[in-house]
Amino acid sequence: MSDPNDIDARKAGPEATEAELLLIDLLYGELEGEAEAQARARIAGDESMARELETYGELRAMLRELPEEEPPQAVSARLLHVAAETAPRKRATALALDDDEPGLWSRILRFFQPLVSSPAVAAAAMLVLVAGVAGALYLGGNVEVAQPTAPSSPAPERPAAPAATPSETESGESAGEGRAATLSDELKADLGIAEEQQPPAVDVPVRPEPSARRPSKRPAEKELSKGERYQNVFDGKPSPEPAKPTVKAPPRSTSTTTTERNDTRGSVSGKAGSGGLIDADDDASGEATVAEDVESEAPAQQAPAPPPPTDQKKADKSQADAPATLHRRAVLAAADGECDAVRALAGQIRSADAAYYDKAVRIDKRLASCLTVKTKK
Amino acid sequence: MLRYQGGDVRSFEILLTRHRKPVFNFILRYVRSRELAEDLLQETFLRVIKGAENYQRKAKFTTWLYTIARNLCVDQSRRAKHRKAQSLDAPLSRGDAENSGTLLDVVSGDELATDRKAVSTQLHATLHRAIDTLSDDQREVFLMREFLDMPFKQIADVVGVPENTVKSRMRYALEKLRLELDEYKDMAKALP
Repeated sequence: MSDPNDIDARKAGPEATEAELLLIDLLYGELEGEAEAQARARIAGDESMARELETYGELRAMLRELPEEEPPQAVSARLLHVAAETAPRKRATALALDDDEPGLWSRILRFFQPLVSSPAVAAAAMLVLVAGVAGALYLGGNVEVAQPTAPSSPAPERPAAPAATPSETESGESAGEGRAATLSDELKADLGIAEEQQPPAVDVPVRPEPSARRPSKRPAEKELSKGERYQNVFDGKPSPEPAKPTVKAPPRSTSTTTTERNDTRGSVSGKAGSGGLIDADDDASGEATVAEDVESEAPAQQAPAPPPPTDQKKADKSQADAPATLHRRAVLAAADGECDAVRALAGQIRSADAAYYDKAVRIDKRLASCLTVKTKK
Repeated sequence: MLRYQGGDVRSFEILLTRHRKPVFNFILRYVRSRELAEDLLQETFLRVIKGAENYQRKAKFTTWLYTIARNLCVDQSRRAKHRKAQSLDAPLSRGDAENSGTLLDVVSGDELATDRKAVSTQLHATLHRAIDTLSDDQREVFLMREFLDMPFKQIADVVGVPENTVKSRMRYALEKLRLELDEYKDMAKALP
């Protein structure tokens, strides 16, 4: 290929002379500097070539009138789509073809190719992955799952522990329990003591094995506190102080202890056959005698009373010795000059035990002054 | 092109935006059918995509690109040789069908249009017809030089002939067009 600027070195084609080729170079501006100047000088000396150059110039001006048309955008879009689809595939293919044995990266690409090509498979794989990780974390105990408190452990049954026990702290349940206890305390404070007297809260039965994992100390303490409150309510005292001695009784036998301590109370509890608080409510609204007996219970608790079997014996004995007692009372009354009382007591003795009356009272000289008069009448 | 060869799709978009219009106009003026030109434009760039893997930077990208387009046009021209007879009612330019007249209008147009639009339309039809009269060798060289603004040396590389042969073909193409358009020279001068 010859240098277009080297006019002398160029060889004319079979169809055109050297001057004609020079004309074409000059027309399209492919000559520069000295070569262009030489070509212009040469053409200027040839009139026919100069006219031909002018004619071709006009022809080119006409051709410039032809408008350029825009290619359709659809074709461009299709081409871009094909290019985008082909380019990555080409790259992966090139990577695969680089080595006879596929490398690690190409293996990974090949492994994930189904996921990339199918979004549904990718979504399913992601779901399985998330479920697997969550399950593993849950089984490993690294994740705390928020448990609803209602079904398994009702809040009222859980005692409001003032401080978490070490076992609670270790088991990780203290947070939830503490929150439940706080809520329970707030609820109690808002609703008052009547709220505390709900039947389920009072008489807590021994729970079956699954829920009895916790030591029975807590329900017992709860019951004790309930018993204490019951005593306060029953006694109508705002402060729990007077009833505290009774709190010392064993937890599970609170109602039983109360029954044994006071006969009247025991009979009241026996009537209801259930928790003491219910009995107390019934009694408070019902019999006055029971209330009076309970009223007298407080001083009896402060001064240790004789055991109930001894009282019973004494009563029986006094019942047996009644004529003698009455006899003594009659003697005292006679000494005081109360003959009416003497006569009444003598009548009681005679109706109770006529033999004793004939043998002891009738012949008693201390009573003779009162009884004689009556006899005389 | 090398970046697209490495997988950069954006670089292909740049190439397409830069070259689609001149390539399309080259093909359109070569085959004289817009529908055919669209197909050939798509095929040209599809071959670029397919051949990108084996592309080597031995020559300019435009040389490679126009070689593909030119070969497609030549193949199409060869296939169309047997149906050379052209309908007189067929529009000269499919893309400008409303404005371009039919070959019948050009042939029977004795009187010259007075308004600019009519003159322009008639001149365009005449130019197209004159270009159609060129041989394939002359037309491809003429189109590459005039509408793709390719240097003769690059045209020679694309066509695969010596540079002087390209210039000679160009010279005869211009001479033929001059003869075809001589009577419309005054019309072209009348356009503002």
